[in-house]
Formats: sequence, C-alpha cells, structure tokens
Amino acid sequence: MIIDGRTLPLPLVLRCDVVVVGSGPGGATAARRAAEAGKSVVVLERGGLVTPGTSTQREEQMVPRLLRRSGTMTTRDRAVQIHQGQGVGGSSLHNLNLCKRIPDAILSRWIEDRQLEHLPLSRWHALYEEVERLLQVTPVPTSMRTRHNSLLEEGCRALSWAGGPLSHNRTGCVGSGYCILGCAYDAKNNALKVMIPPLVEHGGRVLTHCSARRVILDGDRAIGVVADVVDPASHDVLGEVVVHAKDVCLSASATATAALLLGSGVPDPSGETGQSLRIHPAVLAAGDFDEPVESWRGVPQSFECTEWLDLEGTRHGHRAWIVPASGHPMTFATMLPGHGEEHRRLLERYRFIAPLTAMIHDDTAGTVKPTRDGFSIDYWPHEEDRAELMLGLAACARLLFAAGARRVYLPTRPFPTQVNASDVEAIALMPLEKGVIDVAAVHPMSSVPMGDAGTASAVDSRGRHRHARNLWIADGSLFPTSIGVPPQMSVYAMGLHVGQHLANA
Amino acid sequence: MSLASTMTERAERLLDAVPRLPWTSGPSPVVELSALAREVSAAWLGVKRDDLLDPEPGGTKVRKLEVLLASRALLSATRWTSVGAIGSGHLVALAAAAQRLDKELDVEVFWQPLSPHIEENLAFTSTLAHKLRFHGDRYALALSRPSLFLSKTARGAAVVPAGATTPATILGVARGAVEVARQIERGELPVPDEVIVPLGTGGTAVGLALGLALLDAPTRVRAVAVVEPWFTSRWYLTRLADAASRELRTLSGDDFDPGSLSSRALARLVVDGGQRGPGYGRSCPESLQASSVAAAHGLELEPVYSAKAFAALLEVARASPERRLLFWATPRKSGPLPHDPRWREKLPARLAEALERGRGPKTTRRRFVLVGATAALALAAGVRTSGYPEAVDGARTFAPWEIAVLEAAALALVEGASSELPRQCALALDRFVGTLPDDGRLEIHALLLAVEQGTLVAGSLSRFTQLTLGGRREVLASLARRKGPPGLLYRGLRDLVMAGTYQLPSTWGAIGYGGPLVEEAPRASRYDALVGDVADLQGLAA
Repeated sequence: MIIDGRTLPLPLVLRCDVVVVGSGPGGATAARRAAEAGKSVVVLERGGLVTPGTSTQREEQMVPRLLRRSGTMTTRDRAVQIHQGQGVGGSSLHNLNLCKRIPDAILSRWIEDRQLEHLPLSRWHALYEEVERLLQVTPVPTSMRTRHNSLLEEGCRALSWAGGPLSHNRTGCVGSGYCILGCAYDAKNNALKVMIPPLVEHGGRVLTHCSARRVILDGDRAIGVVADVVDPASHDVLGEVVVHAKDVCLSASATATAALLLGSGVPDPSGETGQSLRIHPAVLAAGDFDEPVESWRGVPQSFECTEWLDLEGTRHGHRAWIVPASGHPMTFATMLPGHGEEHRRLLERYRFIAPLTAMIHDDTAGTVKPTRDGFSIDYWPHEEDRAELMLGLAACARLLFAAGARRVYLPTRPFPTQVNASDVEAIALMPLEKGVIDVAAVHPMSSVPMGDAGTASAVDSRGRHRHARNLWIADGSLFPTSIGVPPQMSVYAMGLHVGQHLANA
Repeated sequence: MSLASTMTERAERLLDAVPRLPWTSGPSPVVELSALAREVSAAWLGVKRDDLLDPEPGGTKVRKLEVLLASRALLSATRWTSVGAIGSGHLVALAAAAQRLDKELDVEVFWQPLSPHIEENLAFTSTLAHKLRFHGDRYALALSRPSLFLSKTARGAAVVPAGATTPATILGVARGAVEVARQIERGELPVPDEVIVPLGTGGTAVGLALGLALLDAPTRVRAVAVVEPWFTSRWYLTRLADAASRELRTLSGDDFDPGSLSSRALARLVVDGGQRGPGYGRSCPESLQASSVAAAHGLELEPVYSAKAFAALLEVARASPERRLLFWATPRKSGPLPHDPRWREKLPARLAEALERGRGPKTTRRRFVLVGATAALALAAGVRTSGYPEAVDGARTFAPWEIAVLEAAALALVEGASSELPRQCALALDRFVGTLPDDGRLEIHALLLAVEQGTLVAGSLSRFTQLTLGGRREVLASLARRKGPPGLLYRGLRDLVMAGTYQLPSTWGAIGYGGPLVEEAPRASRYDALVGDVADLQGLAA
C-alpha cells in the first residue's frame, strides 16, 4: 500500500527484507522485482502521491509537488539549473516520455572499460526489450505530431540533416500538452502506473514524505535506513522512520544516492563516489514564426535532430542532440530574458514562438556533496563541452531559420540576443559564460559509476556495493559515463537488473 | 574654555530616558599623554580609557550592551545568539554579559587572521558560549544563517545584532560624550578639537557625534574606517544618525527636531578611509608602528582596530600641529581573560584545524555573494523598515515590507501591469516561496532585503520602494547590465516577478494561452485504492 508518512505514529521502527530509497523508475522497478520474488519490501519516497486525479495542470501548484525544491535547484554557483522529480514514480511523473536505448557503441565501451561482467550486450538488449514491453513503448503516431515538432522536421529536411520520429511510453494520450505537470489522464506508462500497482499487489509498502537521511551501517554491512518524515507545507521534520532490512537499495537519483553514500560514511577507497556526475547540460534557442505554433499544446517531443549527435564516433564526433522545448506561461515567461516592454513584446509572440533545445552528451565530471539539507552540486561544463553546447545552440538557430523563423532569440542575459540568419555561424564561436547564457539540465547520472574486477569502482555491475555488504544501487548513478539519450529506459533497465539480483540475494 | 553646563544638563536629561542596565558607574578615566603630545606637536593629547570601564572586561561595548540588553525581548529570553569574527570584541563583551545575566549564548563565528589578542578573545568566548558554530568567512555565514541578520530570533534564541549597533545602543555611546563634558568641567581635559575613534559598525562614531551635537561642542569625530566601504558610506551613517535621533525623541518625549540633531551630528563626523590597510581584521605596517608608539607611552593597543585609529591620530597630529586630540580607546582591557585551559578541545573540528594551521578555510564567494553585502546592509534594516503597512491580508511567507518590494518590482518590471496585478503577483509568490525549504526561503528574504536596502549598489540613496517608477526602472536596468552579484540580484528578482505574474490566469488571455483543461477539484483515480494507513504496516513492526 501507499501510506502517507505524515499519518504515521512517529518515531516508527520497521523491519523488512528490502528497503528501497526512492520510488522512481529505478527504485520502483527494483522494488517490484524484489516483491514479486516474495520479499517484504518498504519503499521510502521523499515526495507525495500525485495521482492523475490530483493533477491540476497549474504550474504553481504542480511544480512544488513534482520537483525537488519547487524547481529552483541549481549548481552551487547558480550557473546551471537542475530539475529533479519527486513523488511516487519519481521523475517519470513529469518527464516527457521519450524512449531511447543507449547505443551499443557506448555500452560496448563501458563493458570493456569497466569490465561489466554481469551486463554483457546481450543482457542490455534483453533488459531493454523487457522495459519496452512493460512500458508499452511505441513510436509517437504521426497524427500526434504537433506543428512545433513538424517545424523541426522541416528544418532537418531543408538542411538535409539527420533526424527522425521518437518513441514514447504513453497509451490513451489525449495530447493535452501538460505532460511536464503530471498527466491528468493517466496516459503515461510511468513508474506509478506500471511498477507501483504490482509492487503493492505483492505486499510492497511505499511510505511517502519520507526523506532518507542516512544508511545504517553495522561494520561492513548496511542494515537499514533512517528517514525524516517531512511536512511539505512547512518543511518541518515531523519525526523519524527507521527501517531495518536485510538489504538496502538506493535509488534516490544520481545526486541523492551519492550524497547518501557519502553522508552515511559508506567506504569508497577509490573516492569515485560523487566525483563523476554527468547531467546532460542543455541550452535553448527560440524561433519566432509568422504562423501560430502554440508550443505548449500536444505531445511535446515527437521528432529529434541527430545531425550533431555522433554517439558511435563514426562521423564527426559531435555530441549535441536537438529536440523541441516548450513551457507553460510561468515557465516560459521566466525563461524569456529581459523585462518591461521588451519582455512583453516577446511574450505577446508566445503563440508564434518555437523553442528548440540542444542537450549534450557531456564529458565534464561534476561533484555531489552531502549537506545538512541534502546535497550540493558543482558542475560547469569544461571547454570542450561548452563548445559542444554552443555548436548545439548554433544548430538550433540554423534549424529554426531553415524552418522559416523570422527571427531567432538566444536567451542571453541581461537582454535576449536576436540573431539573423547570417549571424548563425558566429554563434558557435561565442563563449559560453556563466550567467550570460542559461544552461539547464534534467538528467543527473554517473555519480557512482559501476565496474567489476580490475576497476576502482565502488559498485559492481549487479548494482552491489563492493565495500558495504547488503547495499545496492539501482538508478542512473550506475552509468559509467554520460549516455547522450534520455535516460528513463536505461534507469528502468537498471531497476530490473538490480532488482533481479536483489530478488536472488 | 568649557562647554555650556545647561547643554550638558539637557543632554543628560534626554539620555537618561534611554533604558539601560546600571552597569557603568563612574566615568572611564582620561589619561594625558604629554610626552607623545610634545613628540607630535599636539597642543594636548590624551586617551579616553574605555578599556578600564566597569564591569570586566570593559571596552566601549559595555556602553552599548547595557542599553541593548535592557530590551524586554533580550532580558526575558533564556538564550541569545549572535555573530562575529572569531576574536570579536562584541562576542567577548556579550559572553561576559550572558554570564552575568545567566543566559545561554550561542555564537556563530567566522574566520579572521590570527593574533595573540584574537586567540585570547576566542578562548574566553568559547569557554563561556553554550554553542559555537564556525563558518569559513562572513559570506558563508551570511549565506547559511541569514536569520541571524534578518530575524529577531534564530533557532529559538533571541538574536543580538552583530556589533550591537542599534539606534538605542548608539545613544548608549552618546552618554560617553556627555561623560567627557563633565570631565572637562572638572578640568581633567581641555575641550578637544578632535575625538579619534575606529569605525566598525558605526555605532560608536555616530554615538559620540550625536553626544557632541547634543552638547553643541565644537569637537569633531574622526572615524577611522577599519571595515569595508559599505559600512562607512555617508548613506549608512546618515541612516544610523537619523534613526538614533528619532529614537531619542521617542524615548525622551522631548519635542526637538530629530532631523536637525542628526544633521548636526553628521556635520561633526569625518570618515577617515586612509587606514583600512589590507582589509578588515588585518594589520598593516602603519598600524603595527602605531601600536608600538602607543606601547612606548603606556598604552597597549591591539593592532587591527584601535591601532589603525591611533595611526590616523599620529598622522593628523603631524599634519596639523597644535591641536587638542582625544583618542577614544574602545577595546576591552588588555591581557588574557579567564578561560578553560582546554578550550581548544571543545572547538568545532574545522575551526580547531584552522587554528592549528594558522590559516582560515579557503575563502569562497560562492553562490549568492551579495548576501554578504546584504548582511552588512541588514544591520541598517532595523533602522529602515518603518513606513510599511502593518499587515497584508493573505501573506504568510513575506513580511509587509517584502510584499511592498515585490509590488514595486512588479510595477517596474511588468509592462502594462493592471492596478491589481502587483498585489496578486506578490501574494502568488508568497504561496510559491512558501513551498521552498528553509534555506531557499531565507535566500529570497535576503534577496528582497538586498533590493530594498541595497539600492546603494546602484548608486541611489533611497530605498527601492521609495523610488519613483522611473527610478526603480533605472536601478533595475543598471543591475541588469552588471555581472556578478548585482546581475544575480536582478535576475533573481526578475525571475520571481515573472513567475508570480504569469501564473495568474488574468495574464493568460493577452498572450493567447487558454489555461488548464481539467477541473482544479480532485477527481477519483485508480490509485486511490492503493492508499493505505498504519494498519497496513502490520507484520513489519520491529
């Protein structure tokens, strides 16, 4: 069952076979697998239960429920905004349902570099097949392609750039366009819909508003988790839940998982934990068209441009992936730079503006550190990654002009830079400076990279911690590098994989 | 020449209306340094020895604390908290006062370069403090504990303002000037041409200037800056003098014009910025030299505050001979204070390590750097938060002044805002910011404070909400053009206002947005059947 932590008599001490921290794609999937194998499972989730019935499609109401720190999380120097989800289902509640596998080229590199004994290519393929089946992954129907996505397609065609349709995990989609605020129609085949009901059916319990504070260690063994029950309205700690378990599984995302390991004093002689964070940083350009685009309506992303994404390293080696981006008014107005008349003029073009975002397969290693209130993140793309971002930004502008944009705006601070078609080449040469161009990220990963014998890794390719017995990791922390594609499928895959080993433990 | 005794009596009568704990009894002595006067060609040179003030450990801080601690809020609290550098004289005086009044004292300290004097102070403070928390630098402290600068209480303890500078404590120092008037009458010293005093948080310098203005004395106060320029700006000192004058009028019930008193005080105040040296809390060759000159004449001065002021005195004496100069010795009595011999063992590990190394943690001006400046400006906040509405209906997160700042910002930033929009935007943000965790909320309080009180940053002397619409737009545009903290300040405020404005359905029609497609009221869903309660945890009880 799903039980609101705020209603529990506190402090509360529980005992079970497996305690899982986090109910997103990794945690919910691992928990489901363990419960199906007959284990008693308790999942601790820092957010609440956000059902389709309580999704209001209002930004100011949904953002605080669905995003950590009400969507205001940034790196310590504020140069990069980082969005991370919360709630039963984690980031799969608000994500845009894109389904892509990590290319074999990257997986093969991992297998070789990190000696992934338990994750050969065949295992990855089998995991992806199962995830695709569970999430009912299908191509987004062409009939659901919005004008916004068609413009990207037209841009690609005009420039003869590589691009193509995307697949998603939705059934029963009505095309409302409110995916990012949680689906009010239960059309997302997300962790809440796909993993939680079977988990509950097999006796699993999910405790909401429980923010894990510490892994309990007994010598070299993890024996439980201490969580604070936090009232989301006041942020008061109402009390403590302690769950003693035979196995502890951390699936709290690449930021919180690493912070929990470090903050709990889990040994890691290699010092890798929290030191190799990747985030897929992204920049954005907006085209102003003569025709209405209404970017906020319909399936937000159904077409991608892969011209500058060479994950195999067989073409030009560039690492930028381009898709449409959109926002409802609060987000959009905040995203637009400037103020006063200038901001107003841009906002009046809201219906006609089509933003594109370039996200890069990053190489920069960021860091996560535990703090009293959770964690802090340090990350600023290194020179090569900055160049990739600017190349991506230039490519967005070219696509927009090629699709017929009258003007293109770059969200430079303090005022937006308006570029003409002839300026596009120069964009790639502009320096990316902190605070001058907005950088955002939604895919933290790789903070506890897995690896087997012969590597320094703290976690093996079953997700088992190598220096604390009975401690497991099942989320995107495990990826040895950035992946260059939306991570949800791969995080579900990690949940299945680690869940299977947990079930057999 | 003497001062008019009618003026002295009136000044005493006015200042007697300021409530205080009866700690200082007699005047602190004035000691003439005639040999030094001859050396530097001064007509007269002496020292007002506040370091010998009762009770122990003395210092001008006692004049401030006996007033500050007489406030009901602090007297009735069982626990106090305050901030300062590790060797802060303020914290030493406060620790002694807490012991005397049987209060628990939590202190939050930040690093400053070490000297024997600093370590003596830290030994004493850490021995008496109930809790001591360490922050790498002032910026880190302001950032992690803004409530110490913005609230009356923090972690359940009553906040004692940093440096103990408030309108009332300025009046406590003004008593010192009147005390000197009586000493002049008794022939203990001539009417000085100048009183020389270090300028830290401004309370002592402004207090003495106010006292001299009340006496109508022809004496100037040379305030020798030992802190960053924002504390020593004319704007800041004017605010202090205005507020203290108003406070005196309120407390005394006298009908003098506080504006005129404040102007007369400021006319006597000269800020001497020539002795800052390498920065706050750090000595320089001039201060070390001054310190040894003073020592040769029997006056022990710590090298970073008083010695800088003494260096200024020597310079003035040499530049303008035949003047009567009174040096105001503000620090506590010299020498070690009683302390637990094992005080170092009780320190937080980071501080103990830093002491061991003799070097503070690496200074990082990280995150919202402006909070550092904000913290400084916040000292003036008590002075400047009058004139706002008493309460705003529906506001739970923001104080009325913060609502006023947001409204003023919305009018300046949002083109074509309707008359209702600013209030609606502010209240929408009140709800939204209320969803942030404590540190996020405090940061926004600090941001609003910086905007309202920190307009100096943009070259203006008025608070933000008092500027005209055009003035506010100019301030914002100038912040927007700048990189670093001012740019961040602009961006933070702008993002807030845009988020507050465009979440309002009333703004959607104009931009062609239709709004949600579902009802706001909760609807049933299949997940409702999965919701359980504590009974469903049966079998898991440990």
